[in-house]
Amino acid sequence: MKVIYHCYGRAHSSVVAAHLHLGNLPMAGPVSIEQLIGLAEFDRADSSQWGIPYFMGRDGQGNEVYILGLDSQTPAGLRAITSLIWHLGKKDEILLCNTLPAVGLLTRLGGFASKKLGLTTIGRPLAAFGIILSLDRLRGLVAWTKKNLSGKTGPADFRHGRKQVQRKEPK
Amino acid sequence: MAAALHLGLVEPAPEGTAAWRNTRNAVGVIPFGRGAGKERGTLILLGTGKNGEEVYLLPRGKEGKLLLTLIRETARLLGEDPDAYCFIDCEPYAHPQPGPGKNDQLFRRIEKMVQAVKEEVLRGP
Repeated sequence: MKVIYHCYGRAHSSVVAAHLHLGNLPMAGPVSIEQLIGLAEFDRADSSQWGIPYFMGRDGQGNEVYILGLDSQTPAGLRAITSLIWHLGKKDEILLCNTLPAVGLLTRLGGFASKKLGLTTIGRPLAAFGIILSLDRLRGLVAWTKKNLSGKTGPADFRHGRKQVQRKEPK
Repeated sequence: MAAALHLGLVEPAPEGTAAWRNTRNAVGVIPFGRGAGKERGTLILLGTGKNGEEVYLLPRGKEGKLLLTLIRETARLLGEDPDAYCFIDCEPYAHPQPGPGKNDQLFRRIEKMVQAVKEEVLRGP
């Protein structure tokens, strides 16, 4: 299974989610701003890398973890991926996970300052601080994703953060 | 229109056929989608050409570059050959271009483009 964490620019929330998934960041306890800024991919990607899944590593179960930036075209991008994998008959190979709803305004402001305005010295720590404030939500998202992966419930069950609804069989 | 011509859903019109007649012939046989709204980004399979090539529609909206990159890279990720995907931007053919053939009707311009694409498909990548 290929797990793709996607967000706007694949520079902040998806990077942290992927590192949480891979165990490079702890799933409990505090994380410092320096730890986040020290991540090789944190606040690094630019617009030329959007739309290209970036391989981050393999988790303990052998799943490949990727990050992806979709700019402001998340709905169209997801439709493109899902329709392609459907046509190829490989719908059980990719799990898409949107990390953007998990982060708040501070990360977005930091990302905007760093990537759009070029104010890296201000934007990068601001984005990192925003991530720390959103860490619980990101951890929850990653935990949910890993739980779904271990259950092998397939990609359609966890998309855009929605939970799977179990349909009761009629007696 | 281009996909319908490619698949033979609309027959190429003889030289000199009026634009309104071409339009009338095309209406009803082209499986139009809902356009670049709710379907933007969706690959819609319309059929298979005479040489076995699958013909799709891709409503891309104004910013299509990211979607094309995404489709190519996702195909690569899934072990497919990205060069097997031939994306044809039909937008320039919808408007008269400067140079020879600029006064051609819309139908004729698209017909010429589809013919060129079919020849390219026959030649292979």
